[in-house]
Amino acid sequence: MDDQKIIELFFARDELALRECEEIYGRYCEAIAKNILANDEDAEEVFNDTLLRAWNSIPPEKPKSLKIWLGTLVRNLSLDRYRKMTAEKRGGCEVSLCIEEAEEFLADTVSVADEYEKREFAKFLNEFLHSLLERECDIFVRRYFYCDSTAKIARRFALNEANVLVILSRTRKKLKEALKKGGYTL
Amino acid sequence: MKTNDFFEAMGNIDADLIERADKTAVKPRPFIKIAAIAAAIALLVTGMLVILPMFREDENEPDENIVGDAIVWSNVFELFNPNTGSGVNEEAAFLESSSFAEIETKKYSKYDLGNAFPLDKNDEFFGEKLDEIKVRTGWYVYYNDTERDVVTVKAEVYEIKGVSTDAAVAVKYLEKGTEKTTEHFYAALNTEYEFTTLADFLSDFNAAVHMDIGKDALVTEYPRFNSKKIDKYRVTEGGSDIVKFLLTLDGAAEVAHPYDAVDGRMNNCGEIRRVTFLMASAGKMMNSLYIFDNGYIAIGGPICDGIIFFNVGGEATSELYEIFKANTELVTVINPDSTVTDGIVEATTSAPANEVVPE
Repeated sequence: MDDQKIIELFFARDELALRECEEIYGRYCEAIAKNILANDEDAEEVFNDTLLRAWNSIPPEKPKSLKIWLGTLVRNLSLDRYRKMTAEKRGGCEVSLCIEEAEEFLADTVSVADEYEKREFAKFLNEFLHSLLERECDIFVRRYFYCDSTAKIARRFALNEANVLVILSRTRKKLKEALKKGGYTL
Repeated sequence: MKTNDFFEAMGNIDADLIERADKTAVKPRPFIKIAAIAAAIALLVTGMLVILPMFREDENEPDENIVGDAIVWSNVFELFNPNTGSGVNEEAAFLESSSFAEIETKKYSKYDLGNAFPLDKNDEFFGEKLDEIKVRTGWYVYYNDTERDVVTVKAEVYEIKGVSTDAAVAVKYLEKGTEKTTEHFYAALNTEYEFTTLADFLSDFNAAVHMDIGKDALVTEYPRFNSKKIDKYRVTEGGSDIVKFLLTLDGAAEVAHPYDAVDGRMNNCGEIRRVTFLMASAGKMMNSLYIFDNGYIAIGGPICDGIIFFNVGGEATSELYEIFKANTELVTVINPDSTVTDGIVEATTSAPANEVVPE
């Protein structure tokens, strides 16, 4: 069943929509959740929360791509749960490594407190990502959106892991420079 | 900025970026290691070397087809082997052609020793000393595939200023061993250096300093690789314009396998116009630049005669081609009447008897 028909089911309040989402996008969403939470039960719970959120949001939302919309939702919910679970301790899953990497290039940057600043920063980040070569950008997105491990990224792009680390390191340096030029540093 | 802010912002990036990153998956292939390219280069080098001996043979007997100054051709050998004319003594240059040198010290054992830098560049090019090593040197006897006079000598490793040590370093001998010079620095390329983009490659090798297309540099244009028609040019004034433009480009390195490099790229270039510059770069860190019509460029060298392809896009190669045309003059045309029909090259009767053309 295509996205258009599934969305029609949501609008018709037909629960078949949820079963279709689970069947078509379940593995994709659970893979994202497991990347972040490293725990099958937590990942499944988050996916169920995602379906619930989808049910409560559509309508009026009408996603252009259900896959990306659900993927983004499950990612964000997974990160929220991760933050609650690991407020004091870290480790045991890939996202903690992602966070450590991010902390390094985000040191000496100003915070983005209010909604306006957050929107501006999101715009800035999009422009930065679009300025990268496709492969660089895709690898960065796999790491910091999908929270894939570097080994997984290496397999996906048919590179070796050391190379992925080099590409990520260079891209983080470029982002750091861009943050400096964009006035985001202290 | 809190990492939460960053991850939250990543959660709001454009959907097309998220989608593309999910769709991208490449068929597994071995990544480029420069040493692995060397074997395949023999095929291309065969094509190139066919041209150069011809030049040397004609050095003292100008071909009547040559439009420009015949003395240009006597500079060919010097341009292709810059060390002979730019400060390195001839003895050192000669010995390199038949001697071998392998770094024994484990940390640098994957670095391939290459050509010597000109003596007058010692202060300009080299930075701090990095290490002390041992090098196994000797003579390679071609006719019976043996070695003689093999000795292990001490040497030092230095930084080449502006060049990433992951890419290349310089080696200076402390002992002569097989009559190696102790005054010159030799370029040494890391055969396990992995590069992903043209910009990184040019930056890591400090191409802004070491890439040199000077006046009178030789350029060959192959309208079609399988055609016998070849246009020969020399650079007039603007070789630096070519380098400057190249330094603004970027593109992914895309050669998958040495044999694919020949089969998939060079043979495909039978359909694509190819322009080849010979570069006179110090230490022979880069010795040729290729421009293809299909959006690829390739850089020959550094040091170990590898050829590396980069996908810079059709617009960039078109512009590069225009800059090449604007800064060169046609000197001669080989087989001007040659045509290609359905991939079969028609013989021409107008080719001079002593002309050799690449197969």
